[in-house]
Amino acid sequence: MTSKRPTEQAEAIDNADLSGEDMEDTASSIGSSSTLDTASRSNTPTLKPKKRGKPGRKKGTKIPKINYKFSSFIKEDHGQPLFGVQFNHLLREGQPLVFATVGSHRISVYECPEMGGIKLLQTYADPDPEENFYTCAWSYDEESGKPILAAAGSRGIVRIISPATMSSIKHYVGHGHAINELKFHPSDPNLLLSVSKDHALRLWNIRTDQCIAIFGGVEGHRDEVLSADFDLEGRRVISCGMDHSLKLWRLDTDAIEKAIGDSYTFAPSKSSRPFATVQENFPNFSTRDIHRNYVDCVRWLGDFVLSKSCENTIVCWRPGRLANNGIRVMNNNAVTVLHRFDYRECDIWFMRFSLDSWNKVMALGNQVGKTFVWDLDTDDPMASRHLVLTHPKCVTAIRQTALSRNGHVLLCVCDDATVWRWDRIL
Amino acid sequence: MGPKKKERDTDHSSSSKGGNTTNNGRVADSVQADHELFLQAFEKPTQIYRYLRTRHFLSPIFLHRTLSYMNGRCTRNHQNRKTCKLVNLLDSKVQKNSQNDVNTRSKFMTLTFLGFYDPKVNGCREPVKVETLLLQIGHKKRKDVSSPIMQISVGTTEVCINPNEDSPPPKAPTVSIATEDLSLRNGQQGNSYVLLLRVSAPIISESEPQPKRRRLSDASLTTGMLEETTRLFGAELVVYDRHSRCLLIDGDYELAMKEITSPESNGTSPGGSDKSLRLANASWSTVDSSHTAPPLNILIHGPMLKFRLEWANDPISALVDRPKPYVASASTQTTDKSSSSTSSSSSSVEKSQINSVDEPTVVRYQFLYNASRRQQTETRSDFRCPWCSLHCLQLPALLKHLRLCHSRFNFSHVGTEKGHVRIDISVNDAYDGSYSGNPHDLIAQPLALGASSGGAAFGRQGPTRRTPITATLVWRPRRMRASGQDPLQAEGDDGYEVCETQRPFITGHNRLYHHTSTCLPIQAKELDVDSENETDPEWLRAKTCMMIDEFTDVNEGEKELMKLWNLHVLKHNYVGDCQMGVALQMFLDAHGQELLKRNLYRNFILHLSNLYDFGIIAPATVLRTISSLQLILQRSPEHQEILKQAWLGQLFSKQEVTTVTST
Repeated sequence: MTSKRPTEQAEAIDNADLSGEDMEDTASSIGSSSTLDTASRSNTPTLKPKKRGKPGRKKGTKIPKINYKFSSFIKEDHGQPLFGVQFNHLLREGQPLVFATVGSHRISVYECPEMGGIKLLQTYADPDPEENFYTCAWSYDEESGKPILAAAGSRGIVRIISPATMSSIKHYVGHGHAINELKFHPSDPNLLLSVSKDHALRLWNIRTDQCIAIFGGVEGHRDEVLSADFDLEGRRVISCGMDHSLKLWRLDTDAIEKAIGDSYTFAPSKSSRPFATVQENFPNFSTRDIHRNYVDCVRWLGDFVLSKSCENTIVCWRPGRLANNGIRVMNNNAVTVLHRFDYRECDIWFMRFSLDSWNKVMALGNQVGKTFVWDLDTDDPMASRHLVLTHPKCVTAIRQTALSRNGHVLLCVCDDATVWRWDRIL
Repeated sequence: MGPKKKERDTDHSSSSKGGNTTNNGRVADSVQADHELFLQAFEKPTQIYRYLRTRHFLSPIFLHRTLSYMNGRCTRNHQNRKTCKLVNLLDSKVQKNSQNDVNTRSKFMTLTFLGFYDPKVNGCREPVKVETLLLQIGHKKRKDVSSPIMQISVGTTEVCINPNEDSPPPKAPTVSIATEDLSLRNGQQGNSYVLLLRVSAPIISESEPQPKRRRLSDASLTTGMLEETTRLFGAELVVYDRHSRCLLIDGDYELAMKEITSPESNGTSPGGSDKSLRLANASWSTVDSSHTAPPLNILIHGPMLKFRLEWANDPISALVDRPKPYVASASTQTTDKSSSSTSSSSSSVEKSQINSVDEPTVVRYQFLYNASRRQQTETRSDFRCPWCSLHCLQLPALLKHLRLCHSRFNFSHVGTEKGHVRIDISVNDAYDGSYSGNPHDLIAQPLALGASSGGAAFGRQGPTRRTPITATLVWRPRRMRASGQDPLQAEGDDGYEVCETQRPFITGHNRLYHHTSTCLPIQAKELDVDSENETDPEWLRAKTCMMIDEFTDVNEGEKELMKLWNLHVLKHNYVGDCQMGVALQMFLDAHGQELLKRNLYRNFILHLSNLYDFGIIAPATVLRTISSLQLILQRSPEHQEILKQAWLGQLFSKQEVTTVTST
């Protein structure tokens, strides 16, 4: 497991030389938008077999309206890579900006003060120093309204932490291998989705401590699952993994909905049988046509899907034909690719992009410490170009980015245990 | 508390290498790195034991004094246990009550006043009046009720002021208090007794204008005892605190007095009906931290009353010979404990009693690493454990404690030479820190907000089933006599003494199983139910149907029959050709109606003939199966109708085809 997340270019179709040509603003600490040339030059033919309409679109590209300036950075003392950073999006306007980072066997909770800087609030360490946390997610306790932080990693144990009581209140054993991502249901704070190296996803009810469903099996992922995301209503889950595939699982089927309901009423002390965990073997939709390599990050964007592989592009696509209304059916696994967001020097895997909660800004870091930011809040997102944020001291791979609720603060966590804060210039 | 380690420069290996100047720097580096490794090796166990020490202070899981090798720490003896009988309990209690403590020997507490010292008063004056009062305070459990207070006046004496130390007055006034007055109600807790001493001194130095204080106070008016020109001083001394512990023992007391100014202005006085009671309360509750100077200051600068307290059997009247002062050693212990804050006296008494120090033997701890590199602690002159600062009293006890309670280290007692004991410490690589108890304790959820399923032991949802497991809680093996200086010799490898019947401390069902499909741990209550050996899980059936659907070279009817048949075979898991007859019969029993309803009669016949062609079933089986299918058919007219329609339709289309071809 320690060999995971290396700089190895996992069976990457390597693009010849990107490094020499295009670093327009390496020394500036203020992000600047890239020029048109670099965008086109970075696309080697091997990387993007089908480039359609590129020249035409380039004419319309505009300089993005948003920009970020460097605020501060901190370094955690363990020096190990930080793999996850998550803002607590449940905190509203006026409440402090709180985020958590995970890496090594640590979970740290920070605050972003208005004035800039990063303030450490709490740190938790797993008793096992061999643990390596990969991911975390925020939720809240329904009764008290207090925040809850879930974290998981190489040991495959989900830890639920209550920052209010400063203790680990629960843990879930069950995954057969490392857990690569955790997500909470958008509307039900008790439903936790975990995505594992054991080729499966699990849906947990953290209030009653039951495993509601396991997504995986014959038609499931054939290799590590790396990422997953709930859609806005929490009816569908899209997952992706090392088998190059993206799979869509519906949560609004009768079986799953019944299991979710049962999980709340199930009384373990009264039943001699375990909770009837649903084993969902058949995704509603599956494709391998989007990427040619490990798919390590996926997010819903309305009915569209944003997913990336280590091919220097984030693909915006949707299942089925564009004309079709409902997303559907197994036998018809057609996809429609809408757009490709290109960037450079990001061909190692386990690099995650993020969106703010209004889906207006997207950010992704690359393996040499640069951050690409896209403004999706334009008339024509296709025409949106990225700006590149660089800092002379930020030179290692940015594993994950996080955007605050309103997109005003951007965080990047790096392989050298640093956390970088960028503030939006308004 | 980790021991303070200091590096030993006289280390043999490093000093010999250090002599070589050419690779001095390299050696220094390696020494440094080696030192880092050494520290790392000892860091983790030390941190663990530091944490355990704190936890043991806060919530001990056992008491060291109950350990057999810590006999010295147990101050009680168990002699009474053998003679104790139930019927004697009352008698012994009554007897004990009658001779409760110090005052059992004595019926009276006698105060001999030696003098009233006030640095502000110069020269000899006329004696001051000292009024001795006894205050009985009844304590109530409920806090909102004011405590009932009873006041007993014992007597008033005249005490000379600022007596000359060198030539004290020959006689001293005394006051005796009978112990009956101090009777504790049936030994019941709840009454405490406070000795009040009030000194009314004639007014003194004119240089100190204190018009307010000199003003008549309400209290002095009502009692009428004081003239206009007197100052009132007071102090209190707890005789019995609320737990009925006697806090006063024989000795000379120097009691710092506080001036009492305006009793009625004190808001803390409870509204007692009795006027004198109110006075008493008001006057004596002025010991208030806000205007109390530090105790020692008061002793130096404030007025002070000196008296001797003795418990005696006979009351002493009025004047006695002035007692001789105690010899220095005794008086230092007793005098320094009297102060205006009366409650501090109890602790100092206990401290003075625990003062016996063992013969000072120096214990030197040597930390071994890689067998060569070593480091030495500051040596300790007592048998305290360096990790948990537990006083083990004796060397054997210390060694045993180290060995048993700090087993992440290896300890070896190297030897004793001229008062020095050397203990070598190395990291125990063979330490097994794994949990050997009930594995369900490990997977149990910690108590959480609104958690419904706690662990088995901590569940709040009523009883839950647990796995049967036996843990040895108390074990008393036959011991060998501790053989003087080398107690570790008599032990086995695990630190426990060798004994004949060694059995594991935890036996029983100490394994954790997991569900095959979900990998979730199997709870104890689920152990009996085995539902996971089905041969046709739902996903396999679905997958079988999907794969059959994907065939392109068979027609729909054939697909349907193949699905039915394959799922049937999957479910019953037939293993040989010889079972095919039974399989067919069971298939018809289960799916015969459905077969006919879905118009698969001919497909089934084809399937039968296939089986026959491949030599799997005998002709007799074919005949028997078809006849039983016919039997089903005959019983249901609707199926006959379906078959007929299908036959007719087929015949008709066939005729059409033939006519088309013929024309």
